[in-house]
Amino acid sequence: MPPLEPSPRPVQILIVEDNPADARLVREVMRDSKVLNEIHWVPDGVEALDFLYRRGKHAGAPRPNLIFLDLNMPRKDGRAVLAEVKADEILRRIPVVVMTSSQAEEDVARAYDAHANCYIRKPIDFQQFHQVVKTLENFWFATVELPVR
Amino acid sequence: MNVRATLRSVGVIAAAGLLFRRSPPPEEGVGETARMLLDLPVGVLMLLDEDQRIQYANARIERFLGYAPAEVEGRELVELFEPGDRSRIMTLLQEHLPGDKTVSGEFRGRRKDGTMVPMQVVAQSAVVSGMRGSKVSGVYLRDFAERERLVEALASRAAQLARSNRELEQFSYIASHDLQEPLRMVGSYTQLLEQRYGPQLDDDAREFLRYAREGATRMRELIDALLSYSRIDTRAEPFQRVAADDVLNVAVSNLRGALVQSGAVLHRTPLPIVEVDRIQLGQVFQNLIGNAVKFHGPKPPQIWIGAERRGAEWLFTVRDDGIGIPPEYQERIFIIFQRLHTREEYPGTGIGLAVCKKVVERHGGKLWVESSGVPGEGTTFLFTLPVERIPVPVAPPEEAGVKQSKVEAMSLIEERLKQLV
Repeated sequence: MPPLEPSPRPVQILIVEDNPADARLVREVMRDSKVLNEIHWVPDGVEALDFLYRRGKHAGAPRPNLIFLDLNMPRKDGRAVLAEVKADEILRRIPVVVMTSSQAEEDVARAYDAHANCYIRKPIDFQQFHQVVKTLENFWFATVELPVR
Repeated sequence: MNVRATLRSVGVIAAAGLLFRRSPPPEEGVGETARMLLDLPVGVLMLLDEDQRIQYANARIERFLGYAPAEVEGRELVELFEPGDRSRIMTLLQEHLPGDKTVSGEFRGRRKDGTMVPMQVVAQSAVVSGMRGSKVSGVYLRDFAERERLVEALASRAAQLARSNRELEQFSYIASHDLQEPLRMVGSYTQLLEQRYGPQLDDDAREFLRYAREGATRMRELIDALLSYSRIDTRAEPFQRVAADDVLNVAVSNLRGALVQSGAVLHRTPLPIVEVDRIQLGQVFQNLIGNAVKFHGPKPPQIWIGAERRGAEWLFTVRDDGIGIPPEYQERIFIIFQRLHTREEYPGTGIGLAVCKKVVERHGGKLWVESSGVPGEGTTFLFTLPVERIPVPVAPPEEAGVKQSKVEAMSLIEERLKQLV
């Protein structure tokens, strides 16, 4: 892996996660990232869509470069968010990382059916969690080419 | 099921019964067997002489028709039926019985108190030697209503058990799954705290943190164990015929590391073909052999694995020469999370044997242990698996459940009858 040059503009990451402690963990891991990043957190699917469509209090929201999406959430769950994002001609380009504690095999299948970009089971161990977030960061921000807009 | 075949022997039994009631029986054994069979609580058994008079009735008749056996002896069989059915029963007995076939029909019986009871009559005649060649008939009365009641009771009990089982499974699955979440937070944040602020903390604080982290790790192991225990039922695979040797090979290969490390020597004899959930049988082998490896004495463990046929079952044995299990602890070891040693002596959660027991029982077998408890004399774990698999009632879904269990209960009763008669 070549050393990463700090990007001039921070990458925008949206975390859709009802558990603030979980969202914070991602933030903590990303804190010492080589990639300049800004983390945005919304606690459920309704707010996630408000953020993506820049509605209400999220009117000034940036367009995320990556979405971390939990599946089980109150109000509107991650499955519904995924379906709406992937049905939208513009939003569908944003990679969606489904990150959940669900062990159900059908959740994995359904997520890919709905065009999730990857599905990750939240590791129970912090070291593993750290490792997973780092891997994702390297993959999405240093390995692959993302659409400019 | 095969009630007809079962009842075909009624005549013979009844005849034997007559023999033992009359003059001294030819063989004491026959008389005893007959007495036992006649007193079985399956229905009313009676013996008729050639004039269709009741020579003998078993004690069941009292509950069924309200007469004591002595009250009906000497009376004509037809008196036990509603007047409207009497000619029909006579026809059955006089015209059709003389063959050596079993005849049967449904009739309205009449109790001592005059009330009607629907019942099935099954009869067969037999020539009894030693009775001057006279012909007697064995008659078997079956109470439809009572049988229905029994079946209903069994079915509702089965449905109730299935429901409570399902609830229990759900409970342990949900509990263990939902418990993971908060635990993940405890574990993750203690690790983060340790990682980021460890250098700033003093020794005491770091020790406290270490205990918290170890506690979280331990709890995770327990929850994982609970989850795997609950999955024995929720994630079961269908039974299939497999060579137990193949299953054992997989288990042995999974344990390769531990086997090599301990210098264990396996002594195997060929195992049979069995009908099992192969993953689960593999778990049983793996846990039992794993225990034999873990609880060994000063010398490298010797482990013997074999199976032999015992009637309708295969008896599997896994024997070692390890530290043994004192008899007073042998019950406890099969209970989930029960351990006989500190974690420093022997690591583990105490789930292994509980899993083995649950798996074997789910397969219709039994699992137990034999050990003197003297170190070096070792431990033998024994478990059985049926040679022929009789369909085990699976937990029926809510509505269809009752009907399904009813069918099962009926076949169970009839299976039982067949064994008894």
